[in-house]
Amino acid sequence: MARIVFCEDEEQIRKLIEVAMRATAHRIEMTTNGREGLNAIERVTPDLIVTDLAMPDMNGFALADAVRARSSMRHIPIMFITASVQRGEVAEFASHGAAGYLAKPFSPQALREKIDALLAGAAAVS
Amino acid sequence: MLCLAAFSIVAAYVVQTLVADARGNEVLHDNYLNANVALLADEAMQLESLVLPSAANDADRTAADQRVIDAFNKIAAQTGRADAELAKDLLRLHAQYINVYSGIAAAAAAGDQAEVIRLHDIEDPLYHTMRDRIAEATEVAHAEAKSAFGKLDASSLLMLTLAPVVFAIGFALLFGLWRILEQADRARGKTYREIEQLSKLRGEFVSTVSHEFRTPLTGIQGFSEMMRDDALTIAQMREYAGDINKDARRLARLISDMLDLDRMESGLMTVATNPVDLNSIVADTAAQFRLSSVAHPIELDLDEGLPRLSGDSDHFTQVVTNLLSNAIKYSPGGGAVEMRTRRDASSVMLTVRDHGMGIPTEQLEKIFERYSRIDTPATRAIQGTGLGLPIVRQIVELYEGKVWATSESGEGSVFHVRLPLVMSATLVSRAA
Repeated sequence: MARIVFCEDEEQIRKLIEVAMRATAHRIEMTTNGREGLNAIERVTPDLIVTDLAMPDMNGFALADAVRARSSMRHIPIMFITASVQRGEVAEFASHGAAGYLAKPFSPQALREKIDALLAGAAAVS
Repeated sequence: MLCLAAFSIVAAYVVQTLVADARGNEVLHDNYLNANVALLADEAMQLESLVLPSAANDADRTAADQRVIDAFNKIAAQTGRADAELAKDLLRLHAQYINVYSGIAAAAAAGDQAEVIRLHDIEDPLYHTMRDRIAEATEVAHAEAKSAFGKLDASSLLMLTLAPVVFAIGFALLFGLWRILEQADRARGKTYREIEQLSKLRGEFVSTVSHEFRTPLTGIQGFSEMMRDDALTIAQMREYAGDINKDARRLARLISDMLDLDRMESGLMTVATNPVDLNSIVADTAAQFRLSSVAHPIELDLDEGLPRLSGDSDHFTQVVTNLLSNAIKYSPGGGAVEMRTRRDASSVMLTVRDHGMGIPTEQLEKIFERYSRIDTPATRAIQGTGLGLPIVRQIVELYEGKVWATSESGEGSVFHVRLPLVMSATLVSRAA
């Protein structure tokens, strides 16, 4: 069982993620923007962060940069969910320390598999 | 250039005619004048092929070079006279002159201005030495055949006086031509930048639209997959079907917005003349938004005596919806939105005021243009197609009204819509 913090501003997608994650044993913390997400990450120190890119207040990149700037959180893998994967963007994800990304539209199964793969990878590293 | 060419042709013609009239012992003088003319033409061709390099001009220039050499050779054929020695000198000077000019052409092609100037300083005395020596010899020959050259003398003097003037005029014309070409090039650069900007806007629009499509598609794909693959209760099935439906509607709205705008911009949208109660449209729209926007209390200040407008209630509903949704969207920190209706002598006013991020003054007009959303870190996170306000403007202008925005930075924005109470005759005829 892992703890995962999600950041997603779109209500429908938040709901989809919540429903999709019900089928897993993971404990999820759902937030609606980067700032809330950062608070949640500080509070629970999750095993994985999954964040949307385009969000009000603090976007996914800003959140990732803030997380990586804190030594206590730097090790937490981050996955971006994005609605527009274009050439060159994947490299940008890596520069913000992404461990993985998922393009919208995604299937709940793909989300779960990607999360499990990232958690397994993180476990192997630690 | 034309001036120089015309001058050379006229001079050659005059000289040819006069020399033909002169007696046989004036052949030498004739030769000198021919050499002079050939040299003038050569200089002109050198300049022309320098300014307008082309195979044709190069060929002409080579021919002009050859004419000078031929003319000098003719003088050199006067064996036993000092003129033969002079002609050899001239041939040597001319060979150097051609060399220097090809150096200038190469330097000009390479854009080496300093080298051009340096070589020009070598070329100029060479040219003038040739000219001077020819002129000197011409005078000698002239003195020898004074009586026959009475007429020719006057003409050649006139030509010599005119040469620098013609040269100056030719040079001024060349300079003018160069300026025109330069300006044309600058205009081309500007057009290119405008096209580039437009294509960038289009690219941004496509990326925004694709983002807007992918978000509801995620819901549709995700919930439908769960309905297919998971063991769900009937209640869950219904709930997810409702979610899919919501996203499908969002997609449909997006598509119809895009199509609406296209239709409006192509002038294909038709006006209607049904009586429309703007107050009730404002109240209904506000009621709908209140359900989903708790952080934005919507306050109404409606003019009870507002007369009915003439039009299509769907059109006016879209105006109110887009303005209200905009006000809420660009007030991410919450805050009241006020909608107000008023009438004056000839029109109805609708204002929508928010307390959001406001609009920079220079963007107040631009926001009504298609594809243009204000791009700042604060707005980047707000999703929108950039179509809402262009649609509002299209509709309002269709009904001969006006829409504009005012804003004080940090104080929120106010959108004003003025709709005329009476439709113009042309509009009524279009509606019918």
